[in-house]
Amino acid sequence: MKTDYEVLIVGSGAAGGMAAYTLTKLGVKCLMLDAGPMIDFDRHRVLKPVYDLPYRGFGRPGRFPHVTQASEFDANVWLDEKQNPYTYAPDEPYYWVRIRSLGGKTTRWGRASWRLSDYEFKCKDHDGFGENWPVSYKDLAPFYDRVEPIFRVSGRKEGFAQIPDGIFLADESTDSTSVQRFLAACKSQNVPTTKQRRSTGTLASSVNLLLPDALATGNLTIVPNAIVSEILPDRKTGQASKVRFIDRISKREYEIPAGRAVVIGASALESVRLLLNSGEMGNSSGTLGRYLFDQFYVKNVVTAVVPEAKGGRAPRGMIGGGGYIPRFRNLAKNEKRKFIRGYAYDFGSGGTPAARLIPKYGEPLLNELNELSGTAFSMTTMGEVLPRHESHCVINKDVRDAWGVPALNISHVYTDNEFEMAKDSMEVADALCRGAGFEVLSKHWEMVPPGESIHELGGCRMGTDPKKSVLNSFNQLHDVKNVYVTDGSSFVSGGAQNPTLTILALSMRAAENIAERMKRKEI
Amino acid sequence: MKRRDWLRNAITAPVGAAAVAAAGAAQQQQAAAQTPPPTNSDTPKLALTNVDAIGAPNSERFFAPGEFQALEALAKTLLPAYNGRPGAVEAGVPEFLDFLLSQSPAERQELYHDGLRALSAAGFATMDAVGQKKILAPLEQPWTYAAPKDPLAQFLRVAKDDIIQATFNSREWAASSKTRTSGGTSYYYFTIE
Repeated sequence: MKTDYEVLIVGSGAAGGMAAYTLTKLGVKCLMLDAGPMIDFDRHRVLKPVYDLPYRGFGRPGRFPHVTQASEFDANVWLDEKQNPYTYAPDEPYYWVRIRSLGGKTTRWGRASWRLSDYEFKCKDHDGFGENWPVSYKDLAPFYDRVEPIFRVSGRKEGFAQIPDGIFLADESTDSTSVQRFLAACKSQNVPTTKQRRSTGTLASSVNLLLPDALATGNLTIVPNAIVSEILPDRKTGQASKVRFIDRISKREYEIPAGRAVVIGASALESVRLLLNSGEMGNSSGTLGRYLFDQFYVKNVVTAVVPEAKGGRAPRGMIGGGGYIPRFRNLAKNEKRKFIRGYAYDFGSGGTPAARLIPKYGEPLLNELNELSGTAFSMTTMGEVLPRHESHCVINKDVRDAWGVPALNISHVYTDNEFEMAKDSMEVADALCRGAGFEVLSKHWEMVPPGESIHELGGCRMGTDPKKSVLNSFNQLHDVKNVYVTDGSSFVSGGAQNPTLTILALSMRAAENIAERMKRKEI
Repeated sequence: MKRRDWLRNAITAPVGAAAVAAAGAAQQQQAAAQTPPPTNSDTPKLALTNVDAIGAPNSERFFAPGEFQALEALAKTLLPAYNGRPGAVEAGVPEFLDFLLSQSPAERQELYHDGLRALSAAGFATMDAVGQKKILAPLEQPWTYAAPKDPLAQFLRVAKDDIIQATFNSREWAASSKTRTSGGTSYYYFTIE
């Protein structure tokens, strides 16, 4: 290898990008390998009307059986499922949604930027289930404080313990009158609300907010199209000594030194797959690949209409905008429900209800769509999923990807705790919309399949006890001191909050720990 | 006619290939007279026309004649031309769905085959509005997240969604709209090696 580097980083999304950003600013020379290409936003895309697409927006049938987010417009951005297979039991469908390009999923994320709280970090203390994280909110807060300004997170400070306030661009926007009515209904039913907290800007990705700064230090080398297949340990020390990767285009295999440390941020399941394919590296606890979870979504748990807006009669300022309802269930230790933990909602005003919700056809349907144009109010549930030992992934030795790398078999199902939570969320959403005077068109509690929320977490969890966890409190493998895993696989629990902000904070914290340990010559 | 207007018409109007060619030749002559000749170093930026704008594909039908006839009747009933907007038939939806289903997974093909055969057997295409209303009764039931158990009701629900999406996303629907973005405009990503 011609390039001189001290730390090798696998992946360039939130985890890998932040590791590179932090380490290079501390003067550490890094090599970043990413499995995908760099998207050139000028060359690789063009504005098109949907009628100019060969399939009128339906997309090529059968191309993405598991990626419901893929449209015909952006189909070429999502990972090809045929080239990159994975397996699951027939009655346990898992929707693994992947992107392989510089920046990873941060080029497509929804940008919701919530902090976790001690309701998550110390969850076992609260309700007795699972394990506590080896860190508390106090440990991570200073890193959230530094991440939010980089991503220019907008929001409103509320003082809610379950979603701690941060360093926000103040959101002073006024609410539409339909949203005001909804907020009043929430207040009367003791349900908390706030503005969305989002990273701002048109992209807000690792590729424009992290990697350019890292490159500017002169300490970062980025190699795209490098599919890391295995980390090889030194036979004497057990430390990572080499990394094997395959060029995505030519399929040539390469082997390079691991440097003084390896940071894995390939996305939760890919990082676990890499460690499993590396002779189950770091798995003395037997928990590698275990305690998988995500967040369940009930999309459009309720779809309602604002009656006063029908027929285009909405006065200016009635429709539009939205907000967020943070977890409000089981915040008190003595709350008695059919489930533990809780859920959150996104809600929004505007748009037209889907035609499928209107039990009509022909001219009556077209008239109704006109009547309801712009009147919709919808809510989506995001619920906490419990990390369970039986939710796991292993290597399926019979299936390999197009580059010969063994694939994953994923086993993850939802259980009664999630089902009861989803049902409760439907009833509450219905009551809130009716309380606001909206007409409810539909309600349901059917969760999307595991994985579809694209918030896959766990599988390589942190912990203080090496017998129950893979990583220590700084995302370092208990077993292999020069390997860190800083993406969502390190989560011990996840709450209902979108995980990216926490991945960024964890990765920044871990990177600083690497630099300190390197200085002390501990790695 | 301004070049910009002509180009827009050429791209959006579903006219015959001969008419496009004739108008194009005249326009090229006019444009050539107005603009300086290109040099051999210019990077070409040519205005192109989408294949669907110049005519219908000449392909064999996926659906049997009876099935296709039922699909046409269903499309016309579920989404008729109305209020200056094209209906599903005017938007070429039966032909489009015939093409789409020819490439769809087997399960979807079976759903359509079974549903259309049932409609065909019932004489849906030739029956009066009262008879059709009876068959389409499941579409007047309140929507539930769980799919109905009756296979025909399942098919009707899927077909309604498909017919509406294919119509609203059609060139004809956009052409009848007052806004240029009707039907949706977004970034299309090319294949990235």
